[in-house]
Amino acid sequence: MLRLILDRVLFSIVTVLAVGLCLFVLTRSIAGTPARIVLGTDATEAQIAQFDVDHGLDRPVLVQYGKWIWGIAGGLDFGTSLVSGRAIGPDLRDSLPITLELVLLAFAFAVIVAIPLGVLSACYRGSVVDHASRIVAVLGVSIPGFWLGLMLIRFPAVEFGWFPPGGFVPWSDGAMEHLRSLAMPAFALGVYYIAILSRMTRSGLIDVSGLDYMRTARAMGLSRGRILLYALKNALVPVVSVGAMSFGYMFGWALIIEYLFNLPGMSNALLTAINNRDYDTVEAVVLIFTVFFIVSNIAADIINAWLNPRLGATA
Amino acid sequence: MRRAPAWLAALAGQASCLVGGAIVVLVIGAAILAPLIAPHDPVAIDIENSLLPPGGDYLLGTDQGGRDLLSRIIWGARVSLMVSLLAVVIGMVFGVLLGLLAAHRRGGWVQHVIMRGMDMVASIPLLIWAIALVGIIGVQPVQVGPFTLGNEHKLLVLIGLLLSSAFSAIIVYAQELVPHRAGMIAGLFFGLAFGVSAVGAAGLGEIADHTGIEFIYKLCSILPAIGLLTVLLPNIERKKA
Repeated sequence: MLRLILDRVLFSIVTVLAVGLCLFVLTRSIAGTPARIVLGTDATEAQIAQFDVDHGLDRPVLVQYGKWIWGIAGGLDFGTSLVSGRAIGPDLRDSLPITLELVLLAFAFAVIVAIPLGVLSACYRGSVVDHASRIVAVLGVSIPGFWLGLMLIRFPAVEFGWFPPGGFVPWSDGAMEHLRSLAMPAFALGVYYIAILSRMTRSGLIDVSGLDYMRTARAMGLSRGRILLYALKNALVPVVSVGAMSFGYMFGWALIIEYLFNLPGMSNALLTAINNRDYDTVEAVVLIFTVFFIVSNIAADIINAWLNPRLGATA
Repeated sequence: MRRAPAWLAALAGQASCLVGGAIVVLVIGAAILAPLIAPHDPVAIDIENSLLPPGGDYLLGTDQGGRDLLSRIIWGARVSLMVSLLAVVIGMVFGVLLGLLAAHRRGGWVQHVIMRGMDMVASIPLLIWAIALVGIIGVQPVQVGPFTLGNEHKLLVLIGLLLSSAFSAIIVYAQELVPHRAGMIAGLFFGLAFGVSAVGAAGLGEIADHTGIEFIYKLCSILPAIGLLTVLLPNIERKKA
C-alpha cells in the first residue's frame, strides 16, 4: 500500500515536471518575445535586449523553467506577470476558491445523486426506477452543459426568478444567497457526471452480483444491506477511477460554465490572461489545473487500493 | 447474397439503435449534402434580418449578424465531423503504432518508456490545455514546414496527439487479454471511436452555431475528444484491475 502511494506520487511529480516543461517551452517558443508584447512595436533591439536581461529571459529555457518551478514548489510563488507587472499568485488566490467550490459542489451533487441512483437501478433491474434512471442518463450525457446552462438562465432564472441568472455572491453576504448563486452552475456542471457515474455504478453492481462470493454471501444468509456493502466495495472500483477522472475534467468544463454564469473564477483569469497575451498567468493557470487533475487520479488509485487491497498488491 | 451477421441483426431490432443510427445518418448526410440542402449562405450577413425568431424564411431564425442558423448548423456539421474524424485518425495512427510496439516488446524497457510516456500524455487536462494553447498560438494559420495549418487543423492535430495515449493503452491491454487479436481489436476501437465522435461532433456543430459566440465555438470543437475519452477510459481501468 505504502509502496503504491510512493510510486504514484513520485511518478506524478515527474509527470508534472515533464508536462510543465512542455507547456513552458511551447509557450516560450510560440508566443514570441514577451518584451515585444510589453514594450510595443516601437521598442529598439537594445531596449528589448535590456528587458530580457532584466527579467532573466536571456538565460537558457531550462534555467528559467527551473527557477519558475522552484518558486512554485518553494512557496507557491508563481512569479510576476511581465504584462501587468503584478504578482500572479495573489490574483489567482482570489479566483481559485470560486472555481474549486463550484467543482466541489457539482461533484458532490453528482456523486450523491448518481450512486444511489445506480444502486437502485441495479437492485430493481427492469423496473420503473431502472428505466427512469436510464432516461436521466441518456439525457445527461447528450445535453451539453453550456446549453443546459443557457436554458437554466432562460427559464428558472429569468422567467421564474428562482435563482439569480448569473454573478457571484460571496459568503460574507449570506450563506443562502451564496449557495443560490452557485446552485444553477453546479447543477449544469454536475448533470453529465450523474449520468456517467450512475450507469457505471449500475453495471459494476450487476457484474459483481453474478460472482461466486456474492452467491456464497447470499447462501450464508447475510442481510441484504451487508451483501450490498460487500458488492459495492468491488463494484465501485471503476466508478472511483472514472469519478476521479471526471473530477479532473470538471475543471475544464467549469471554465465554460463560469463564463456562462459570469462567475469571477479561474475562467475569468484565464480568458483575461489570453486576451492580454499574459502568458505567465496562462502557464500558472494551466499548471494548477494539471496538478489538480493528476492529484485526483492519484486519489482514485489510493481509494481503489483501499477498497480492494488486491489492486494495491499487484501495482 | 450473404446474410447479415447476427450482431447486426440484433442491433437493427432495437428501437434505440434505430433512432441513434437515424440521427447519425441524418448528420452525416447533412454534412455531405450541405451545398445542396442549406437554404441560405451560412456566412452572408444581413443586418436587417438579425435575431429573427424561428419560422418563415429562416426555419431556425437568425443570429446577431442576420445569418441563417439552419444553414450554419448544416455547414457547421462538416467542420465538426472533419475535425473529430481526422483527430481520431491521427490519434489512432500514433496510438496504435506505439501500442503495438509496446505490446510487441512486452516486459522490456520499451514498453515501460512508451506506457509511462502515454500515462503522462493522459494526465494532461485536455480542455484547459486546448483553450490555453489556442489562446497562445492564436487563430491565424501556422506554417509548419511545407504545410499551412488552419485553425481546425491545429485543433485536430492537438486532439489527435492527446488521444493517441488512449489508443495505445487499449492495444496493450488488448494484447494481454486476447494475445493474438490485437489487430482486430484496434479495428473495433476505431469503428467505435468514429461512431462516438461523429455523434458528439453533430451535437457540437449545432450548439456552436447556435450560440454564435466565437469563443464557445472554439471550445466546442474540442468536445468530441472528451466524450471519446470518457467512453474509452473506463474499460482500460477495469481491464487493468
